[in-house]
Amino acid sequence: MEGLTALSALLARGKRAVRELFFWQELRLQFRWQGRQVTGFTARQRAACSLREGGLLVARDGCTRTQVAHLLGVKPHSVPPWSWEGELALPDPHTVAAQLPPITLQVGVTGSRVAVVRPDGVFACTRPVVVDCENQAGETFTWVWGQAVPPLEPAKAGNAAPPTGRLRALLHPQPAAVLCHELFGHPLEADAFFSGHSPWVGKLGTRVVTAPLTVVDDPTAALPGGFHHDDEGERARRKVLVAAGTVKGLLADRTYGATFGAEPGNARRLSPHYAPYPRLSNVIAWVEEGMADPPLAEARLEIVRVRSGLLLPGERALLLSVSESYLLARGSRRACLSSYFLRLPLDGSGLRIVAGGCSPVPAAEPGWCGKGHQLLPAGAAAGWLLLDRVEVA
Amino acid sequence: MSGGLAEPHEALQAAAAVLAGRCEVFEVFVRRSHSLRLAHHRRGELCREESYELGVACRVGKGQLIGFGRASGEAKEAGQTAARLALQSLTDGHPTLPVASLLGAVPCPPPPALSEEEISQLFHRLRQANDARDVALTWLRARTLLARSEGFEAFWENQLVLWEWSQEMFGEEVMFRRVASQPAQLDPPSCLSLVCAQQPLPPLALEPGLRRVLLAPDVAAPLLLGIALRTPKKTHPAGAWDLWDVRRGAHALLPMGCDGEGLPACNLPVLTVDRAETQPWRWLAHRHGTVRVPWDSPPTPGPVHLWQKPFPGPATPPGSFSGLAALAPLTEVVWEQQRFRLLAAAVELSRGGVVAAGVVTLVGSLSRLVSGLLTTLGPAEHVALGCPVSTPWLVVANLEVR
Repeated sequence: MEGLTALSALLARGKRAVRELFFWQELRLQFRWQGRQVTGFTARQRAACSLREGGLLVARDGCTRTQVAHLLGVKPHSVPPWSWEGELALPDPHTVAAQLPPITLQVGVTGSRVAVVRPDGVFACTRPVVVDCENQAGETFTWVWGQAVPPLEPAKAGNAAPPTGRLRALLHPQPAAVLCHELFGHPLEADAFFSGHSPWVGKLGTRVVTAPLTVVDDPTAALPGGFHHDDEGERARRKVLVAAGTVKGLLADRTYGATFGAEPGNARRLSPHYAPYPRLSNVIAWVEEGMADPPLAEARLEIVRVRSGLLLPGERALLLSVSESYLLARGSRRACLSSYFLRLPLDGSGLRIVAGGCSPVPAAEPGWCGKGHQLLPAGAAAGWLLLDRVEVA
Repeated sequence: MSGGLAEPHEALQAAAAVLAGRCEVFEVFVRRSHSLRLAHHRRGELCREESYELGVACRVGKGQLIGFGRASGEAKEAGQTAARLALQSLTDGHPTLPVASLLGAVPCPPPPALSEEEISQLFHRLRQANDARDVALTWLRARTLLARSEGFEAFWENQLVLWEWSQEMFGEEVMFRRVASQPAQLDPPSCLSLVCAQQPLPPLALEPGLRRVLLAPDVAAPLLLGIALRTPKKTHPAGAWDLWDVRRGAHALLPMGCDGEGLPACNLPVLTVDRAETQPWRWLAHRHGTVRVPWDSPPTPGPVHLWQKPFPGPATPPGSFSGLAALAPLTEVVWEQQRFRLLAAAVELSRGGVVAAGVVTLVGSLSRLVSGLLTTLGPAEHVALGCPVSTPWLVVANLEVR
C-alpha cells in the first residue's frame, strides 16, 4: 500500500482540489442451499476506483495505475505503482452452509476492502464479511460471518382479519428495529434532515418520545453495517441520535459536517460509481431502565415480524408492512393475523412509545437498506417496544 | 473491428485463453458501458457523475457441472478473473448452456448517439420543466458481446436516458422515473395534471371494499411487472390485455441481437388474448427469453421491456372517468405469493374532475387483476423500474381499496 501514500502526496502537490480517490474491491460468493446440499455456486469479483472533485465524480472499473491515470488526466508512469495486499478471502460455501437450518435459501457471502486517498492521508480497511440469505417467502436477512445465525424461517401469516380502531401494539425486537431505522435513522441523516421532510426538523434537543428511548448509530458494532473508516476516509464513531426520548444528533458526511457543524463519519456508497451520502450504519435502540419482559397483557396486537417500514411525512405517520402478528387477549395469542400495513401516527408529542425493553437484540431482517437505489447492508438491534394508538391501515 | 468492440474482444480473448482445454464448452458475456449522470440536489449543488464500467461473465460446462464466474475491471484482467472464478465454481444445480444449433442473432442497428452537449441541454430543459427539488438525468450507452466456444458471436449496442425527480404529492414525496432511448420520448407523467392545479383538496372518504379503479402508469407499471415475473395461476384474462416483452422493433427501448444466452431475440407475448390459447405466457416453459440485468446476473427468464399496447382512441386520461384514480405509488409493491399490497396517492374523480385526494391502500390478487382489466386510457408512458415498463392508464374492476 506504499504507493497510496505516494499518491496522497501527489494529490497534495497538485493544483486540483481533489476530495479523494476511492479504491474498492469486492468478492462475493452465492449459492443455493436446499436444506442438505449446496448447488448453483457462483463467484464474482469487482474492482473499481473513482475521483471526486467538487461536484464531479468520475469512476472506472479496475484499480490499476492506468485507471488512476485516466482519473487524474496524467500519464500512467507518473502514477505511483500500488496493489492490494494479498487476495480477498471468504469462507468456503460448505462451511457457511453447515451453519444453516434445513430450509431452502439463496445465500450470499460478501467481503470487501476500500482505500481512500486524500491529500491529507490514506485510510484503508477491510470490511466485515457479511452473509445474506433470502428464504422462499422472499424475506431477506444479513449477519456478520462468525456471529450467531439468526432465525431464517418465513414469517407465519394467518387468515384472521386484523382488528380495526386504535389500539396498543407490542413490537418484538425485529419490528422495533425497523421502526427505529425508519423513524430516527433516515430522518436524522443530514441530507434528509435539511431537506425539510424530516419530522425532527426544529426538534433537536426536544423530547419526542414518551418513554426514555435511546437510539444510537454505531458503525463500530459487530453488525452488517459496520466499518472503521467511512467512504470519505473519516473515522467511524458511535453517535447518539436520541437520548432518553430527546433528539440529539445527526448523521453527516464531510459536506454536511462542514456546512452545518455536524461531525462527519457517516458517508457510505454502494461502489465507486456512486457519490457517498450520509447513511446510517447499525441502528441500536433500547429504553433506559426498561422492563426485561414485554407486558403482553397490556397489548391487543403482538407484532412479531415486519417486512419494511415507511415514513409518511404528509400523513404524519409511520407505516409498517406487517408479515407476522397475533391478536392478543389477556396476554395470550387468540389468532394469527393476515398481513397488513400498520399505521403509527406521529402527533404533536411524537410517537406514542409508552414502554420498552432495556436489552437490544440483533435483528437480521430485512438487513438491507435501499436509500437512493444504493442497497447497502444495515445492522440493527432493539429491545421490544409498547406502542399506543396504532391502527391497521 | 470497430473501436467499440476492442475492449470487449480483449476481455473475450483473455477469458478464452484461460478456459481453452479446461472445459468442454464455455460462454463469455461482456458488457462495456459509459454513463453520465447530471443531478441537481436539494442542498443546491449540481453534480456530474461519469462512469466507465466493464463486466465479464463466464459460464463453463464440464460433464454434468456448470461454473459461473464474473469480474469487473480492466478488460484483460476482468476476462481472466471471470474465467478463473467460473472454473472454480463448477457445481451442479445450474441450467445447462443451450445447444449450439439454437444460437443466433437478429440485426440490431446501434441507436443514434447523443453528444454530451445534447445531454446537458436536455438536463437543463428538464430542470426548468418542473419545480422539483431533486432532479437527475442519466444517459447510459452499453455495448454487449456474447460469444461461445463453438464460434458463435453476437454484438449489439443500447442507449437509455433516465429522468428521475422527486415531487410532493398531497404532502408525500413521490419519486418519478421516466426512461427513453431518445430525448424526444421523455414526457412528464400525465397524472401531474390532476395534482398541480387542484390543491388543496378535501380528504378522501372511502368505505373499504372492491371498486373500479383507474391506475396511472406509475401505479400500473409495478403490477405489470408482477404479472410478468409471477405468472398468475388459474386466470381468465380480460380481453383488454395486450402485454408484451419487447426485444426488437420500433417499440423496443432495449433492442438486442440475442437473449441472455445466445438465442435470437424476439418479442414475447406476456399476456395476450388474441391468441388461440388465452392463458398467460409462462416464461419457464420456453427456452427463449432469458435476460441478464445487470451484467453479472446469470441468464434468467424475465422481461427486458414490458409494453402494454394502448387501446386506440383519442381519450386523454382521466377523460370523463368517475371514481377512484391511483396516481403514484408511495411504497414498493409488497408481494405475498400471488397477492399484492401497495400504498398510493389517489384522487376521487367526478366526470374527470378532482373532488378529493389522499392516500389509499390497494390490495388484490394477480388473478383478479388479470381478469379485471376493462380498458386503457391514453398513450403508453415509459416508467423505469427493474426493467422499462411502457403502459397507458389502466381501468381495473374489483380492486380492493382500503
